[in-house]
Amino acid sequence: MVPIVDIQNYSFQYLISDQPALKNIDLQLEEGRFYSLIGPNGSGKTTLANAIRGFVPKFHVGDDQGDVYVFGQNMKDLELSDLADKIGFVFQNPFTQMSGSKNTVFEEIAFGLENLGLPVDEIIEKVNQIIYEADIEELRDKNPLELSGGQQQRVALAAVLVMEQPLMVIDEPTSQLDPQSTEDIFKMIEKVKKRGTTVLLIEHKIDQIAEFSDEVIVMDQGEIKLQGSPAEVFQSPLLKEIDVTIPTPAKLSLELYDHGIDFTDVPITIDDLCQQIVNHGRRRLNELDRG
Amino acid sequence: MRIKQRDQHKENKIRDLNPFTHGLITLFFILGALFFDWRFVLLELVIIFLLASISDVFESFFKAWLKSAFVLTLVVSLLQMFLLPGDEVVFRLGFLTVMDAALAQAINIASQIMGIFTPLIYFLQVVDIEEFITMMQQSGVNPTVTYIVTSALNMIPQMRDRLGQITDAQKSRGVETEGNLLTRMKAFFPIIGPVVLSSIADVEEKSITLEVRGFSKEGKKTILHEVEDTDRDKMLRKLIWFLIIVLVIVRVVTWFL
Amino acid sequence: MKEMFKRDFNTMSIMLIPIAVAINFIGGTLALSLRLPIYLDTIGTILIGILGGPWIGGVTGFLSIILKSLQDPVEMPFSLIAAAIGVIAGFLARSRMFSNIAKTAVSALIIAVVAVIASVLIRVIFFGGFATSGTTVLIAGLMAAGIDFWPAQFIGQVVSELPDKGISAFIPYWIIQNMSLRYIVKFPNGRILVEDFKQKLEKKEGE
Repeated sequence: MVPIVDIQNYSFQYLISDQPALKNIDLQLEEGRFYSLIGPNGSGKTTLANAIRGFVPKFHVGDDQGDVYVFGQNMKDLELSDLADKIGFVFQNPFTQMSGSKNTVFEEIAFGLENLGLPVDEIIEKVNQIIYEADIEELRDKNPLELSGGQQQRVALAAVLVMEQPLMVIDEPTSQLDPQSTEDIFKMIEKVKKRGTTVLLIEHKIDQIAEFSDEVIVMDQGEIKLQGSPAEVFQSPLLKEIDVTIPTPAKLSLELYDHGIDFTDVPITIDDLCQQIVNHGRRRLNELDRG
Repeated sequence: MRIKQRDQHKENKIRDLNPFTHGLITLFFILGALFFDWRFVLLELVIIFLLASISDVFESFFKAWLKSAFVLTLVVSLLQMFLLPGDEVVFRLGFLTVMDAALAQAINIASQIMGIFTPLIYFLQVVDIEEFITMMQQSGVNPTVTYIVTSALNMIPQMRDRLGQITDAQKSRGVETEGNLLTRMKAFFPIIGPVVLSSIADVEEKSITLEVRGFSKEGKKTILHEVEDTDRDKMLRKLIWFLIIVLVIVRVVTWFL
Repeated sequence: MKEMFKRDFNTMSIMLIPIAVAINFIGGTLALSLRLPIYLDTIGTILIGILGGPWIGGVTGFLSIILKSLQDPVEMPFSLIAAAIGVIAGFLARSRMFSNIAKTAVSALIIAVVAVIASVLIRVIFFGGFATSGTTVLIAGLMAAGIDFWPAQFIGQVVSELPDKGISAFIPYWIIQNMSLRYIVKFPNGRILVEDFKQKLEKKEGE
């Protein structure tokens, strides 16, 4: 099956920059899977997200080598406008994701569908649907420019999701939000996963997203250092050299290892951790019984 | 100035008219004022005042008209009357003299200003700008144009808020906004700088947002809330176009006579 | 190495226009609240003319006044002046007339002169030479003192427009000095502006 995104030996350097932002990236994203992209600041995560959506190099000027294929087509042969109904894109700043031309949240969400030329009744239906799913009914008639950051980000996410693109690229959506809004956003993102959309999520708050990620990609200094299931990635010794946060349960288990407590698998979630502690405890009891 | 929410309950027959119909009526009056003299304009004023009361906007229209066209016409025609030269004295008022040419010019300019701007003021009272902009898009104007206009209208109050925030922030950092002229002028820069720079910095991300929502996609865009354009509207506009042509013909004919 | 300068100019420039219009409005608001004797309501037009070129500058100027006339239609004829300023600023920037302070001063003068001439013409054609502003008081006073109509008009407009447009042309220059090169280059006139800066830096290093 053709991967939705196929990046082949891709490098990119911004125009006024003396370092390449991406070095020889090889990456395939399969349909329907949820990918989390993590890495220290400046590792190239945002550049990679932009490369997938085509903003690099079509919007952010620079030199590139290699190829990026989306849905089987080479990015070089595509226009940015071709991708609006194929790749969704959400980024950090809630305010700049409000179009500024609509007076109500309903119209703001409908904006993308208007541009796609959908018929009016279909637009109304889909917007109502997403408002219900995103749980933003109370924002329906409000002016998008008068909302709080967290509210705007929820609207921004809804306004992109309503376009039902098969691939969603989400770049640190919660970094400017308070904890409650962060929760709301993650709840929405989980629902996206349930739709079967292919998702690439860049996040630092690894605790919350490790759980529903199918795969984790780790970047550092413009390169992909690790890729695999969360369990594989968070147990990898390579991770120690990269300044990246790993899920607290995993971190805890690695610390405990240094104190002589050995779990069989590195836990990713709290449940995992509890299970591992219980298992470990049983093993020790068995050993004590026998001995 | 924020765009008003659409007024759904206009039961007034005049206000219900399509914005373009109103626009054409305005054009007719403006052309008439340009082509003809104070007699046309007088008639025009009567008709517009009548229209304003039928369409239930008389109070706000009158206030706006007083403040704007009326005051302006008064001042301009008085100044012209008393300051412009001429051949014969028409009358004296103390040490002020009014010459014949000056009086003629004053009447002329008064009629022109009244005749052009009164219908415009009425138009702005009776038409919802948002509907007018939507109507533009419906009739084929590039959606980019309508986006620019709508976005500018929304951006102004936004930026005013930001101006207020930055002014407070800078004041608390010691920027003086009171005092002599030099002090106040110096205050301009640390306030305008951050507002402008942060707004421009947003341009890039806002452009990306537009792209993500498919704004640059070719093909017909749907309009969620279309403005009604009834048969009556279309007929009225045909009638007004006819009247405009009559106006032009009469003007051309009287020119040669 | 393949350099790709194929960029989506359109969306960035389109987005610039509403923001520049708003900048015009708040420039005026700020000048008013600081009780400055000048309008400073064309900063956005000149700025966007420099960054985005004459066409975008002209549209911005025109649109700014049209929107202002929504509050008071009497302003409408002045939209032509504002458009002209935007267009001129754009052409001046393309001819590298904003690359240093001296050249900016010349540009400011050019813009001010155009503004004066255009203001006189518009005021006379549409309003017979008078309005309800302070400038009118000046012109009326001059005429009452015996000065003829046209000289009075020009003197009045010079007093009103020269300081305003002169200073208004410097503020965008100052603002652009404070913008990062990385950002300036994204705009249609960006490459010219950045090249000027780079030349300046190289000169400095050469000394």
